[in-house]
Parts: sequence; C-alpha cells; structure tokens
Amino acid sequence: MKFTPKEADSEVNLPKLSLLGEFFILSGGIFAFILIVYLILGIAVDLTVPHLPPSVEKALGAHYSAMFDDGVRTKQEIKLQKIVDKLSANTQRPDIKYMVHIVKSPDVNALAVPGGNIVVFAGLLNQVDTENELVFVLGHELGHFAHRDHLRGMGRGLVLFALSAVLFGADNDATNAIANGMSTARFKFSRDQEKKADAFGLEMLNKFYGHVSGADSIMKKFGKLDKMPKYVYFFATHPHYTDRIKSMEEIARKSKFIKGKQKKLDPVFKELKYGEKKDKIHFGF
Amino acid sequence: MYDTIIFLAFLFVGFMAGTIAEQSHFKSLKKREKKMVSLPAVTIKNALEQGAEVDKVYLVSGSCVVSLDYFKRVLAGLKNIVGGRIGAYETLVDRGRREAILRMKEAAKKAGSDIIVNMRLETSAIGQSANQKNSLGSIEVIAYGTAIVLKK
Repeated sequence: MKFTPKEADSEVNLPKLSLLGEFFILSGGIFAFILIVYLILGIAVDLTVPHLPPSVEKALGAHYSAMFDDGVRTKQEIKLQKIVDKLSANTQRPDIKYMVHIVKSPDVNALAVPGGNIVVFAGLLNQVDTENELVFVLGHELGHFAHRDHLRGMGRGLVLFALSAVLFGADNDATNAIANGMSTARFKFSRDQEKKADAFGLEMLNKFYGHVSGADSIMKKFGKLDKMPKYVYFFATHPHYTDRIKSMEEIARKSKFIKGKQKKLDPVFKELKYGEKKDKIHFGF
Repeated sequence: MYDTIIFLAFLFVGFMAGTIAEQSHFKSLKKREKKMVSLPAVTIKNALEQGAEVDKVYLVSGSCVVSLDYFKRVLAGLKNIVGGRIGAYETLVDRGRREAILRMKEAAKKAGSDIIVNMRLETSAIGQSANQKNSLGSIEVIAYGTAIVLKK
C-alpha cells in the first residue's frame, strides 16, 4: 500500500457560527422568553388575587406574621394599633385582622405585608410630627390591603422565584437572593398602585379629621430626605414625591377636600430608640 | 449587584483570553500539521508497503489537556436549555484531538519513524468538575499508536 501525503480539511469539526453571535442570540432569546412567561404569570396573579378567599390569605400571611410578631407589644405599637383599628373599620376589608409592628431601624419606610401586618420603621415615626401625617401613612398601607397589592406583590415574587428555580436551579445565587427578598417582605408595588394607595390614604385622612392636611407635609419631608435624582424614578417602584403631591392635590380639588389644623403627635413616639445603620437607608412607603 | 459585575467581568475576561488563546492555537495547529503531513498516522494495523521490512517498533503517545474558558462554559450552559450543536465544546475537543495527534507524531519523528499504525484516540474529563452533572471543565485527549522504523 502506497501512502501519499495529503492535507485533510481540518475545519470540518469546527462550529460555523461565531460563538459571540450565538451567545447574544441565546441569552436574548432566553431573556425574552422569561420576560413573556413572567408577564403572563403576572397577569394570571392579577386575575386570581381578587378571588382569593380570606382564609387562604390568612394562611399565606401566617409565615409573615410569625416573622414580625415578637410577642411583646410596646406602648407605641399599642397606640398605632388603636389608630389602625379605628381606620380599618371604614375599609372594604373588615375581614382582615390588622396588626401593627414597629421595626427599630432608621429606615424611613412602612410596609403592607400579607397576614394583615403593617410594618412601620422607627425612622419614619421619627420624621412624623403630627397625628394627621401618621394617619395618612397608615391609610396608605391600608389602601394596599384594600387593593390587595400585598398579595399581588407576593404572587409576583413567587412567580419570579419559581422561574429562577427552574432556570438556574434551586440552590443558585440568583434564586437565593429572590427567596431572601421574599422572606424579608420588601414588597414593591407599581407606581400606579402607589398612587391608588395615596388616594385611599387621603380619603381615610378626610374621613378621620374632616380635612386632608398632613398628607402633603409628610410627603414633602420624605422628598427632602430622598436625595435621589428625579430620573432614577423612571425605574423606581414609587413615583417621585412631587408627582405624588400633584396627583393628591388633584384628588383633593376634585373631591373638594379642605385643609385644616393638624393634631399634635403623642410624644411617646419620639421616645423610640433605634440603632445607627451603616449601609443605605431605605426610603418609601 | 456585585455578583452581576463579577459575573460580567469573568465573562469578558474569559471571552477575550479564550479567543486569543484559541486563535493562536489553531494557527499553530495548522502550521505544525502541514509540517507533519509526511509522517502518516493510520488506524489500520497492516499499513506497510509490499516488501517493506520493519527495523524497529515503538509505542508512541501524545496527550493534551485543554480547558474551556468561562465564557464558553456559560454559553454551553445556555445551549443546554434549548439543545443543539454546542460549538463551544466542539472547538475544545477539536483542539485537544489535533494537539494530541501532533504531539504523538512529534514523538515518533524524534525516534526516526516512518509510519504510525494502529493509532487510537481517547478522551476523558478531568479536573475539579469532572464527571459532575451538567459541567465540563477540562478534557484530556490521548493519542497513541505503534511507530515503525523501516529498514532503509
């Protein structure tokens, strides 16, 4: 047998497509797919939530209630509870048993957490000067409950968690971060939901005092504290405070709400002690 | 946030370093293959010309260990979701095979061989992530055969 040296085509085993192009097509396609699934499931959540019976809502919230309930009621919590009980008698959700928790943290924030939990951070109470302002903040959170925003937030969190677990595995960094976000209950709602909750709070305020002073003053304080430039709000969950004030003024004008004298806040709230926080302080309610 | 930045940085570094290394490797493979084309390596056992007499026989082998870069690993992971041809792995095994054969031929050439018969190729996954589900770190490709020196 005679061997004739000849070069063979060595390129047959190599990929035809550029790997970078393949990477962009793949990651773009997968991202688009996730986005579509997330949007569809998000709509499914929105459709389901209004039909959720109170018993299911209670069972869902049990985990969160256990997380915030330390068994001890401070005098500030009892005071807040009294206000919430009075306010909630006027809401469409009398089936929920509301529970106010104060978290000793400098965050200027309040949350509506499933299970009827209203979480108020000490940093926010420190900023509040009148009872009217406090009533507005609590009314705003009650608005989230009335519109079932807390369940929507939870449902979307669940969808995100499930998607991440399916795609990246249950023990992935991304999945863990989402799971953590859910368990600390930093519920984020859309800007539209926030404005609706503002309107609800404003109405509560009017029912309680017969005028709506306090809503704008707490919002202005909040705006002064928040140093973020306005364009950031394009991506944020909460609308910019000036927009919130503007839309509240609109509502006040339409509903003929009047301004009035505000009631001084019980000094007991200024006694709250909370530690310094090193990392970023969260704003928003 | 930091996780994402680190991930993207790894992706970028992996892509740049991986591409540069791969391209220079392919260039060198082509050049050396051209040089070695006169030394045949065949998989059959009886490849000698009629009348040729064997002087000496050696076992020759060439082995190569080559690894994926971070970018290719991520790309292969993405491709695992949708399926299909995984180009990222294809270049890896191709480089491994060709390099191993070349090294075997270089060893045979040093011994003055005229032909390598009964050549075989084997591949194994080695390194930390070897034989784990859904992961491929580095591969070892070994080429071995019988180098024959003919009587002149």
